[in-house]
Amino acid sequence: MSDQSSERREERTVQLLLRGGLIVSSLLMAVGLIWALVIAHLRSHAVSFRTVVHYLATGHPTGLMAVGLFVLLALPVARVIVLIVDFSRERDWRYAAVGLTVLIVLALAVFVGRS
Amino acid sequence: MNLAPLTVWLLLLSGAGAGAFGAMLGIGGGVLIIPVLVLGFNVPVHIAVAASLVAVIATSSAATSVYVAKGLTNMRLGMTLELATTVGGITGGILATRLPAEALLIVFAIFLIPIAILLLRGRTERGAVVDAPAAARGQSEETRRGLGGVYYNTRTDEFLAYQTKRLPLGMGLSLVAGTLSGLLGVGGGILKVPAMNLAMGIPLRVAAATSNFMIGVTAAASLVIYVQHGFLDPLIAAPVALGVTAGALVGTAVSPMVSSLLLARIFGVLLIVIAVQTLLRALGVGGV
Repeated sequence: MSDQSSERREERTVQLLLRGGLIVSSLLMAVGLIWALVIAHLRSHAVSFRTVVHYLATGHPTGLMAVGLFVLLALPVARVIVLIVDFSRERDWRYAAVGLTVLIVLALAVFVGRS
Repeated sequence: MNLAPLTVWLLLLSGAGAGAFGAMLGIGGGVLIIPVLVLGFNVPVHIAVAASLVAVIATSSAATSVYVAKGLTNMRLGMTLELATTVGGITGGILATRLPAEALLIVFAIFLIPIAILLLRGRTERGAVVDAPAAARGQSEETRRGLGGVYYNTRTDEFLAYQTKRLPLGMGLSLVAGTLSGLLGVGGGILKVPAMNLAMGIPLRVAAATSNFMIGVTAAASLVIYVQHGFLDPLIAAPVALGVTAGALVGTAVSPMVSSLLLARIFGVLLIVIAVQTLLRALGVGGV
């Protein structure tokens, strides 16, 4: 069972993760966006998990923005993982299992989503 | 499509507005972003939905980092309901990739109407406060299992305890909310907040904070599917996400100072206007 202090620790970890992740992803997107504005490369493209590598390798601002977007996408997933670890440390197996199931569902999205 | 520099700035500004409003109401802001992108910027619907999902994740992360520190978020309840919302998010994402743009817009417009009516009737404030001393003394079985909680209400300056009722109903509604989230790129908070508040007896501010916590994961599940289908356009999504992040931080900060009843009413009127506009667009009235 969670007492007051462990609850606080969970809250602190989640807060730090989300805040840090947002800063990193925002910086990547902002730099990419400013770069695109400066070199006046404002042609819009869709990116996928695969093409982002190509954009990065060819020194394209789109690549940097895409990485920022993917960092953002990863944040909720990382938050689930962090909470699974925290719940496990507290031996709150019930909610650790709930978190693990959410993670499995998220992993399923990657397989189910392939067109 | 080539964008003008001004368009990029306007996308940033629109995101900021939607983010601020969304955070104050405990929704992802997607309800505003989709029509702004589609009606205002002529962005294809699926690309707008993907950008909105990104914005939903940004809003969720920004707002959660603030709400969690205030002890408003019930993370155990959130995780439990996420079991349903993520499954819904995937279902909605797959459905959306198979539907034509017009169909999505019509579903979106229809989705807005009942919510607008509910908000206008001001039911969001009802049931927000539980009998705190009794609930705190009682420490029911559910509270001990971690699904209830206590939070500090800054407006009334008191600690309020609450319990969770009707979890299966809450899970069912979360599944629906998740599906709509993936289908329409909205956080689904607009459905989850009333569901948690009215069906499950969660205080409004806790419901809003917990919904904000959940919508990020839900949107992530759907966004993966949109990315794989080639609907993520960084030049649209990045400025919207940046704007939304800034807006959400401001909105979350001022949220305790704003009357949620008044906000709900303003939002209700806005939603009706948006619904009509969206429907007209879907039916091809008024260009494109």
